[in-house]
Amino acid sequence: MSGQSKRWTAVVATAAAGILVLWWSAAPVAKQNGQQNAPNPVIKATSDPAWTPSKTAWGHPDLQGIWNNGTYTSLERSLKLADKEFFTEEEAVAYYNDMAAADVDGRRDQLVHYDFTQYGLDKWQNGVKANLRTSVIYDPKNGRLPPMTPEAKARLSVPRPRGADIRSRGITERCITGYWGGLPMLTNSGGPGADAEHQILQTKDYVLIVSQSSNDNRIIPLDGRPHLSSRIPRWFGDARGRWDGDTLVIDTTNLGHTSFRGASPQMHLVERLTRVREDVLLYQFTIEDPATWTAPISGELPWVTSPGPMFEFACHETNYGLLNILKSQMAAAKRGGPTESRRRARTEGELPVGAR
Amino acid sequence: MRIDLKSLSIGAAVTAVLAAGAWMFMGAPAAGQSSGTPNAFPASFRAQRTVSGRPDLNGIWQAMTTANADVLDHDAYAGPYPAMMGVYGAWPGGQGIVEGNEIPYQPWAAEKAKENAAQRMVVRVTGDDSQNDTGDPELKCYRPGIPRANYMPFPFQIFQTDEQVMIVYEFKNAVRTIHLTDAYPEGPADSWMGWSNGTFDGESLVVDVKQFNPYTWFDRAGNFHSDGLHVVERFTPASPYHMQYEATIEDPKVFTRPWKVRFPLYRRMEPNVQLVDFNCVPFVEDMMYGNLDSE
Repeated sequence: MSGQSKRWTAVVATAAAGILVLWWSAAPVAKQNGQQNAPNPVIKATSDPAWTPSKTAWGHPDLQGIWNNGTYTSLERSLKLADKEFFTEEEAVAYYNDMAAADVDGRRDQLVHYDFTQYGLDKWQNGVKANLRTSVIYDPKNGRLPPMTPEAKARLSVPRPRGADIRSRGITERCITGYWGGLPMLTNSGGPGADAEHQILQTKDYVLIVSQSSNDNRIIPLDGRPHLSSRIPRWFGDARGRWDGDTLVIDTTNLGHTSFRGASPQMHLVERLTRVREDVLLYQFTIEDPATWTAPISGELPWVTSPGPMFEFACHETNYGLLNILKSQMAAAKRGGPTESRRRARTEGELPVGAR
Repeated sequence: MRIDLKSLSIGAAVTAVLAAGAWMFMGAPAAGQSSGTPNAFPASFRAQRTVSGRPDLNGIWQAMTTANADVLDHDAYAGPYPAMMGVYGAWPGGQGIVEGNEIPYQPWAAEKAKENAAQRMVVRVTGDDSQNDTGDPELKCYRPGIPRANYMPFPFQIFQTDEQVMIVYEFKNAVRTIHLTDAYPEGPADSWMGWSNGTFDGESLVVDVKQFNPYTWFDRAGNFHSDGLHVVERFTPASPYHMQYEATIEDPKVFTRPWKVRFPLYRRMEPNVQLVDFNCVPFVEDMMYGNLDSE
């Protein structure tokens, strides 16, 4: 079964149980054999000296393709790992296998209405590989978000409980954005592994990034024009691009509609996208938001190629889940019971990458 | 680097203005002479080429019709809730975009279009497909389908490569991919924007669009189709600043014969023009989910 067919299966959500059973059984086998049967399980995020980056017909570095930014790597480094920035390859594979197993096992005690694995939605089923980095964040050096400013602490201390009021629900739940819910482009590791694909399309004057999830998109002009005025906030910011050697540098402001981990609307994001190998795009970002954090934040995550094509993702048009969530919240409120499901509370407790 | 780019873009803008002036000065009178009408496009126009030699359709485009209200000829009217909305809710009149100003409905379908119009603002959120039985999909911030996306009163941007053309519509940030290779002849399922395969025919990009779901409408007047819809679009550059758009619409379940819509698309020429967000989901939530607790 080709990767393309696999994605069709996932998006259309029709089960191809026999094939998936094969995948299912492949993971434990690979684990037993120390990954000897699996193709290189660790992403090489460094440049391959033997590989010459290709160019477009007009001479720009060619970043085009469909890239998967799913990951098991957490945004912040575990306190246990302290100053350990990188895993060895062996450790990285062991971590990956543990997380893949948790993807499966972690749901056994949860109330789910279908099994992600059955539909090929787990990350290990979607090309996500092991990463040598122990956290997405590498600066601050401890791999963790810097301390928040008193201003931000005050701003974020106002409780915003979720309930039956639609505006209290998350923007992804409401289909206002897809799973990555804002910038920087870090997949929501609390969600399923599907739909972490992002297509990059280039013309002489623009770079277009379209995401599978909700078909969120960023149009990045390359002509050096100024940013939009702050009167026009954008769901995915106002992006301006330029080429720095083989790297696309994207400068983004106007992020007033979404908030990365409590960031203010003044957050300034600089992203660098470099194709380091034919099948690896290195995504790097630096966040500056003095109204929220006492230091800048930098991180990086390698993206891997993924089979095409992209599909329509009509989330709001068939958001039957939201209707059921609101109804259940109203019923719970009438009963005087808790107005959040156990599952969401659990997920949020784990603070997945990109969630807020 | 940045300053260089800026001065380059200023240079490009000046060039564009000069080119526009030259075209108006020389092209327009020539066109007038050849066709006898001052508002006709030149009889033949050869578009700027991409690196690979195809007509270059890249740019931000917008229709100037009122067809989103009604694809047929229509009068201006007050719109819904005039006591509250006044002229804010009013819709402009205009000449339609349908060739012959008639949609060849089968008799049952003509009745259904009238029923759609009467119920265009009746929104029921049922949590299943039956919620599409009434209400204009536009009202609910649903993807507008094809060809409607092209004459919504919003700009859209074309990104053209050799393998595919992607179009981003400002309305709802709807995206469609037009596959120019034979890699993806069919989609996995019916969808709102359909499955598009394109070829170039001389100066025209010809797009075959199929695999639509039955839920989109052609306008606010209730004109509709089924899942048998098949649309063939032609995007034909008509000047550096215009494209002719034509779509042939067939649906044997609903119409007695194929029919056509046609209108020009205008290149947006404002300096630094760009799409912004019309992420309309938050705008419809009160309408769609606000009355759940009264059930």
